[in-house]
Amino acid sequence: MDSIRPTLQSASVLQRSHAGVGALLSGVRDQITSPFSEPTLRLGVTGLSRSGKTVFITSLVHNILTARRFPLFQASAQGRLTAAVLRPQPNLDLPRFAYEANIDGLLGGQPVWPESTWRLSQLRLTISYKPTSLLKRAMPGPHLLNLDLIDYPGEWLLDLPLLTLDFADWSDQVLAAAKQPARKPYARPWLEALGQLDLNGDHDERVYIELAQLYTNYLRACRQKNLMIAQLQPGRFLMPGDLEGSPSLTFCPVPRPRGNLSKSGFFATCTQRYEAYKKHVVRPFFRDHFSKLDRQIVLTDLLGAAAAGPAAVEDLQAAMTTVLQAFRPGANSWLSKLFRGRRIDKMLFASTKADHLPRAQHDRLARLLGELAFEPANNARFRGADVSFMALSAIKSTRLAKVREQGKVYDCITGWIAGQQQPKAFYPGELPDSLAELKRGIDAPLAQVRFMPPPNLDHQQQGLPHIGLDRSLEFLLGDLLS
Amino acid sequence: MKPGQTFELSDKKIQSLEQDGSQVWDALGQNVSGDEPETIKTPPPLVPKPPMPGAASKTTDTPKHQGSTPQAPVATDQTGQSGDKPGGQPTYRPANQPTDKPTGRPQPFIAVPPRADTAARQASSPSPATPSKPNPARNPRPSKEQGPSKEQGRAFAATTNQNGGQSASQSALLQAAQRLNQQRSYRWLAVLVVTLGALFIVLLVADTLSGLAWLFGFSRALGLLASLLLGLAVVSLGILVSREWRALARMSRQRHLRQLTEAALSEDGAPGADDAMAAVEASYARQDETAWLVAQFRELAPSDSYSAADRLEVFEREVLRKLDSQAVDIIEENARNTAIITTISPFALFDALFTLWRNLRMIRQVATVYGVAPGFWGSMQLLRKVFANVLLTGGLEAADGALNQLLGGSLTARLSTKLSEGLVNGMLSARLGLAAMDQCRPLPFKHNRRPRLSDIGGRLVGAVRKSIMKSKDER
Ligand SMILES: Nc1nc2c(ncn2[C@@H]2O[C@H](COP(=O)(O)OP(=O)(O)O)[C@@H](O)[C@H]2O)c(=O)[nH]1
Ligand SMILES: [Mg+2]
Repeated sequence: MDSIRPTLQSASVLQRSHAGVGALLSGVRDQITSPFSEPTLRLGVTGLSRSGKTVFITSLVHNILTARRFPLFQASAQGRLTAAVLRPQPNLDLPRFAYEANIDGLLGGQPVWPESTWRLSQLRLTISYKPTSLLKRAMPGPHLLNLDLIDYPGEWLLDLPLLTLDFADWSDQVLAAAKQPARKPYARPWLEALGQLDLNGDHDERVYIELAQLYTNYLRACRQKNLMIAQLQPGRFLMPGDLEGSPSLTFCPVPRPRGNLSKSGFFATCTQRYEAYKKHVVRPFFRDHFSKLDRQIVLTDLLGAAAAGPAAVEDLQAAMTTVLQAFRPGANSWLSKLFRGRRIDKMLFASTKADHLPRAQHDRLARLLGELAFEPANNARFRGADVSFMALSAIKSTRLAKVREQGKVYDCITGWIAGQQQPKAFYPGELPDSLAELKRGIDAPLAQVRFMPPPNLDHQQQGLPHIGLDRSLEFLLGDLLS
Repeated sequence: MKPGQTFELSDKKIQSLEQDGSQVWDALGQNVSGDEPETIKTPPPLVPKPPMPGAASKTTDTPKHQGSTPQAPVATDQTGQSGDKPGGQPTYRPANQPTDKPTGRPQPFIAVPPRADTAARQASSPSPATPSKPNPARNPRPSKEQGPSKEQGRAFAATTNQNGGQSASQSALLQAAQRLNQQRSYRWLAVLVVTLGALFIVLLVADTLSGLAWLFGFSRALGLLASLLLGLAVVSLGILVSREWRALARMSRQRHLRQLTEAALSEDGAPGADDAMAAVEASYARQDETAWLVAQFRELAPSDSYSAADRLEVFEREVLRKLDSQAVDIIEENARNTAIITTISPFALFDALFTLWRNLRMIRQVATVYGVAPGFWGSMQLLRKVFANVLLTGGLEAADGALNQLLGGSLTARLSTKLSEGLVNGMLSARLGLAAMDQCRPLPFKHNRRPRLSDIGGRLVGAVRKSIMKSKDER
């Protein structure tokens, strides 16, 4: 963890501001240990798509279930974690997180990363522990902590800014971005189709479907090229989940037509569908799953963005800043105003896949992340949340090797590079010292390789190797298990 | 080398795979070609440490330099780390440890011939500018190798500062301590002793040889027998000397280690942590008694997953916690024995001898726990330092005071003199043991709680009371 800056106030459980009596009661019920109810921590695992959320949850659950000894997670190091089990999740209408399938894939004969997430799922891990605090020890045991985790496609997170935008404004933003040179080639088919359309006229449903399809293709191309990731909305176009083919997904940004708006015209219909999308898809998703978080870990694939180039780094920063505005801890966040949310009192920013980089550069990686997320982090800090930055690899699948060439020794990474039969050593180069340099572009860009999980990851049944998982758990859960 | 370049693992360029606790990499390890990975070594530091600027002129602020002075060149012995065994089952037995034992052992940091202990200390003490003149102003300086912890250093500074209005007993103590450090004036004495010794040895050799020749003339068989015996004697002497030598080297290595770790921990961000951790790890991996602990530690906190500063923390929490509790057990047992024997023995001389012997034994045991295993000279050195330390920090009064606190002033008065003498003796032993711990520990206390004299004292009083009750019952 790079730095834990002093916080303005340490948020005590009972001092949290709750708007309504109901919320207050539920907060008290959740937080105070009593023989009748179990304290519950809703941990928000936040991250854009491919940032490593699913892998993080899988590794966390597996390592706690197998009672891996975490030297820097005090409860575990001191042997106070007595047992952990997966218990029925609180929301019975949600699919369960496919923990078993993921772990089977990772530990199988041909290890694979978990499949990419296409829908929302939930898991409850209950930890039984021996407290150190006298107050808790005076209570009859067992002492339990429920850890509620949800996994979702990262694409959906980007819908968050839509809640404050109306259709016309949003369309203007998207259209302006699409006309920039880097993106124009991908947007052309969609823009041309849009140009030929009478925006005030009545159209067949097939036209809507076709235009939505063209727009989706544009989004897909951008995502593949790591372009403009902050604006890949609506998220469900990329990852429809259960809504595939639903009319709330058949619209696209449209320039405002001149003259009077016809009520059944293309623009007006798209506006209605956009509003319906916000109301029935975006709002419930955030209300049900993000407004009640207690703590948050923000996963960022900074290395991936650095490999993709300066534009990708800029985009990543923009995306993080927009998305995290919603999570602003404290009563004044517009999201919490909307939904009477809770406060997030601890926020951990982690740069994932750190196993692609030698250990010696991890501190630098964490520092770069600190610069990248300065604004949201500063906000959180200002409102009294604890903030920390670190380099993380939820499942460490590489190993360090020293390679000597012409009298110099280089730190290299060895492991199974995707698509290759044999493990190889790989020289990743050096990260620059500051974000400004990274945004200027690195003259020796870290080549983009993807390491697969090695065979026999957990052959001793002692848990998965990791980098920094214990530090992150200590930061996120440590105080609750004392 | 260009970023993005890849190598086959069979490539000869690959020197070492990092030690990895997860052990999932055995398959990978087998792919590495190197028969015995070449280790990368920086040369061990030069023998005399560079003089500390300012240390010679000032006296009272010397303790402040502890831990923050720029250190001598750093020895990173990476044998323990990079001498990774190529594949195979992860059975961490000493036998499986890096096979570099005979060859890869690094040079002792300071090669001190056992007999010339004092001379060497003089030679390595600071200020080449004033080589021979004894400098009385410098005398109360706690010798650098003695390494009192910061706390003790402060206590020391306090005592010297108030020097003016001090009680007679305390200044007597101080003088005793000063005498312990007053070695510079003995330089010529040392030369005398050494030359006399050398002369004696030369004469002895000559005499023995002529004796042997005479014996051969007298009887062949007797001559053979005598030369056999002589050979045996020479061999055993050689072994003894080399053992002593090694023990002293170990101790000076430990001191160096402690300086490294203190420097690393005292600075923010711990820039020296990498070297300090590597040195600590290598040192403890080398010894059979602690090798398994290090193996466990590496499994728990492999070096490619944890920063050196984190690993130092884990090392203290996991490895040193075990060693600390062993040391405390030894100290408690010894304190108890001394207290009981002193209480029940009728002869004062016997008490004194017994206590001295027990304390010496305890100090050696404590040192051995931390992997220092001092030889005879080493033990003497340690004993002297520990005594000096205790005297300098007013350890006697501390022992007495702690006891008073524990028992309540009035109670001490009511105890029989013998019993209170025993308890004081026991407390002093405990105090010596704690000082020995401080001397031998590779890291300063940071994440583990420093054992307190009062904790040990409390248990001591309980134990002594119980055993006396028992003996009374039996009577
Ligand atoms: N080497 C390595 N790769 C990782 C790690 N975590 C994630 N990845 C890679 O990132 C990809 C996306 O991870 P995932 O958890 O599915 O991301 P999500 O979309 O945020 O759920 C995986 O398929 C892996 O290739 C890690 O700890 N180490
Ligand atoms: Mg996922």
